[in-house]
Amino acid sequence: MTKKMMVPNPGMNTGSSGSNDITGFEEFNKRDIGVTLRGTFVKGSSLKVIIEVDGYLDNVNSTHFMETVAKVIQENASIKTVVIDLLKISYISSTGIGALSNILIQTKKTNIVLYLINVGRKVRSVLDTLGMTGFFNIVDSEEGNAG
Amino acid sequence: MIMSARTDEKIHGGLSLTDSKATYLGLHSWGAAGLWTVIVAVILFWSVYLQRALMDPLGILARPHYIPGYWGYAVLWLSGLAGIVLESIGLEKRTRERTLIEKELRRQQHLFGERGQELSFLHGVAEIAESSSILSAEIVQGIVDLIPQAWQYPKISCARIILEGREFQTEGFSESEWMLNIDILTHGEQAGSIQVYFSGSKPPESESLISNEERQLLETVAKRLGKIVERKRAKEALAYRLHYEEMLDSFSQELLKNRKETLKAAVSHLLKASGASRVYIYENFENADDGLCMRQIAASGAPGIKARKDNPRRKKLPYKDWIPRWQKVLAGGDPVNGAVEDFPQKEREILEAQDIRSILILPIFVNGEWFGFLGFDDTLSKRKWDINDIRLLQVAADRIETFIVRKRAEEALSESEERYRSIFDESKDMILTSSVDGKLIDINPAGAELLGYSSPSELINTQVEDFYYNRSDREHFNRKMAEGSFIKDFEIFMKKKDGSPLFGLETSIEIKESNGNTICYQSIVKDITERMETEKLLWRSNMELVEANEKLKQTQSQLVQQEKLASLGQLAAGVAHEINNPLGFIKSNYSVLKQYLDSITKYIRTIDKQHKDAAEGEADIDFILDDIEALFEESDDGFNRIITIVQNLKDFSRVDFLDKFESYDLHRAIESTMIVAKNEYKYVAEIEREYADIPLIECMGSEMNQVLLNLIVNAAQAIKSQKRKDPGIIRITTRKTPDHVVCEISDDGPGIPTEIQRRIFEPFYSTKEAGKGTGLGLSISYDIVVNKHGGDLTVESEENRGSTFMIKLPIRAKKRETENGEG
Repeated sequence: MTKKMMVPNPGMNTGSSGSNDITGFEEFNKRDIGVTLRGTFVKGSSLKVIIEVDGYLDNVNSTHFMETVAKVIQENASIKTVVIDLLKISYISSTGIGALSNILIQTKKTNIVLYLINVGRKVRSVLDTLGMTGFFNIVDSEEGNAG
Repeated sequence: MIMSARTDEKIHGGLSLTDSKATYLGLHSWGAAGLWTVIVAVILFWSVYLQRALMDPLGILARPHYIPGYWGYAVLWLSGLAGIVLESIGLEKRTRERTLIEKELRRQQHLFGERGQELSFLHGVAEIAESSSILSAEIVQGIVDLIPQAWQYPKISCARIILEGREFQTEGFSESEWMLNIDILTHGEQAGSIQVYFSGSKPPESESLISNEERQLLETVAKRLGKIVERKRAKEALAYRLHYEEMLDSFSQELLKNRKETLKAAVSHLLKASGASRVYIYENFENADDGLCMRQIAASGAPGIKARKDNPRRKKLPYKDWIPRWQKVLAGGDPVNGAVEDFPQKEREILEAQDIRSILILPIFVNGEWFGFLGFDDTLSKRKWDINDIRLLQVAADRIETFIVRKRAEEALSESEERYRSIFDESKDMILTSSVDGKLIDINPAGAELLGYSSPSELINTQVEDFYYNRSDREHFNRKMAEGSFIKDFEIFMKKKDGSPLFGLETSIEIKESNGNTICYQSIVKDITERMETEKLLWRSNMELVEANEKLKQTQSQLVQQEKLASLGQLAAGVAHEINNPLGFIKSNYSVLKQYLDSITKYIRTIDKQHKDAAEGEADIDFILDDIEALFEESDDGFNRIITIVQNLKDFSRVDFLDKFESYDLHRAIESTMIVAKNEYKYVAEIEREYADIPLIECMGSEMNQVLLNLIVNAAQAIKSQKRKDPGIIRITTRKTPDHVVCEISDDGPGIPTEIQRRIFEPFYSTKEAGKGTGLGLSISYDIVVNKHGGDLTVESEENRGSTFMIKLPIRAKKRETENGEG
């Protein structure tokens, strides 16, 4: 992870439109389990997707979150890069971190690069405590802007 | 004065009307006597005058001044005089009389005033007594004492009031034949009477001697007394109720207390209120031998009455031996009530043995089941409790039910409370109570300990979120609580006093008031820090495993590739060797053949000169001979090229030095590689070389050749991908730094997008079309340069301007890296 990371400015892609570029999250969002997801492709490229996580990830909904994200990534074979935007996450439990780790593992297996952006103090403290920070490509939104 | 007397008469009902009228008339006749005399005289005079005038009207007219004549005047004057005298005498007498009357009046009035005062006092007392509803013996006595004085009739002697069985008499009371009786009625029933006794024998018309006013007065007093009694009775009834209610209240209050002697103390309140000698509560219980039995659970006796404490049987009295009838009555919800002497013989014996004269037994039911009874003994009088008493005392019996139910509940609760308390205190999990706004209300010792504090008191009244790693997690908690009134396995991430993390699983419930408002949250937090630690390790190893797997995959493919290359190298070397041999003798034969051909050529040319014209077609022999020479020259070139290629192949494959560090001439290696790769670049690019003076380096030749080949082929392919008309340029430069030799291979191709620059060294990453590349070339090169040689392989690229790959190799190999690389 010493290599320089480059991700596009997430601000350009978040909140600009309410629709999902990716199908597969609608059903998940309908279930209303405390977290909603939105996937948008970066600048019309089908290679890179930003997944916004809005809500909380706890022991109840994390597994479902993980399965949904994994499935969506799997179904969109063109995806080479997945960016998970954690700006709007209100609470994350260790299970949530576990879910992210599992997503990371899955992406590694399929040669997809996973980035976490907008990792707030909350998420980072849990990541740090669990000693998982080093495994993730964490990019500050500022750095993302610069890149 | 007269007027005032009349006024008095009016006020006091004309008690002295007859007398005063007589006096008035007498007084009038005396005073008017003189006046009457004068009037008679005048009439007489004028009657004489008128008589004359009638008889002789002309004479009168002729002599008007001669009217009555001398006698007439005399009579007139005399009568006038007499009138005056009489009048003056009458006046004098009248004045004297009036003085007397006035005196009498004043006396009368005095008497009258006293009576009036007494009368109004009597009224007043009765009124006061009525209004205040106080009816003390003193007041009734006072009323009696006032009656004779208020009486006009002089011969009244004494009076008495009989009220509710009590008698109030005037002093020296004695009954006489002549009396007046007024009944005192309450609600139409006689409650007593007012009696006035007159002295002397009763005259036949005695009733008429008593004035209406006097009778009315007595009736008023009687009415008032009646009303007072009514009120008093109502008040007593109220007081009775109040008394009972007070008793019930204190009884209930007592029952609310949680003492050992609660029932006994409560029962003593009943004792006071009911007027019984003993009050007791018995409880039923089943006994295997005797069936349903009773036992005393509380009792209280009036002073001097033994509470039968000494009776050993009170611990267990079987109904069947004792009073089987009661079992039916009481179980049916009815009371046992009455004088013992009216009871069946068997019961009488038992009860009378305890000096009980009357008894009231009220059943007690608990949750619809006959529990026992509340009993009242009266050892003094035989009586039957009236329905009101029973009704009120039944309330007490019912209250006992509540008490028993509560006590049972409390017993059950206190048991569980105790159990819970010990769970709270002994639990290894944190148990805490927090208010809705996050104030820590209570925490158990384990909780304090988990957070690194010595006692819960240090924590109480602090804010729960102070211990949260992320304060906002509480908001999430609150939201969750608001959603479902409980939260299960909520993961909280806390920090201890020393700042170290504490992971907990929190399960909370809302404690609500009966009106639905939340009072607090009750939570149990399980410390899962250790589990988390294990999980953390598990995750880490999981992640590491994944990474190791990836690496393994990478290494494996590299190994395969290297193996392939090595085989290829060996093959190439073998082929080169095999070709070299025949090539050797072909070349040697070829040289000999050429010499032979030269000799033959010389010979032919000599013959040709001698037999110039010998045959047709021989003219071509010159051409053939010339062409043979050319053919040989070309073949010569071909041989040389084959020999060079074979030599380079041998050099490139380095069969003899595989995987061993050797002295390596980079320039020579580049040239060999260029020849091997010539097919790739010869149509698309020109090669520019900028070689510096560099030393030999320690290197694994075959490996490094592979790197050079990869980079040169990549450069050529990059240029080729542009499909341009002009050939591209591949520039190869070398230079030396103090410890390293640097080789840069640049192309002017399309460049590499920044996004994928960092990925190009990853295994299997390929931008080439499927089947064109393995995606391993650069990753293997990276591995060879960086891992095996301790060098560096980097790329600089600009889109549409080209790419430059830089190989930096140490002049002296780093052995450790090598070993790692080989391992």
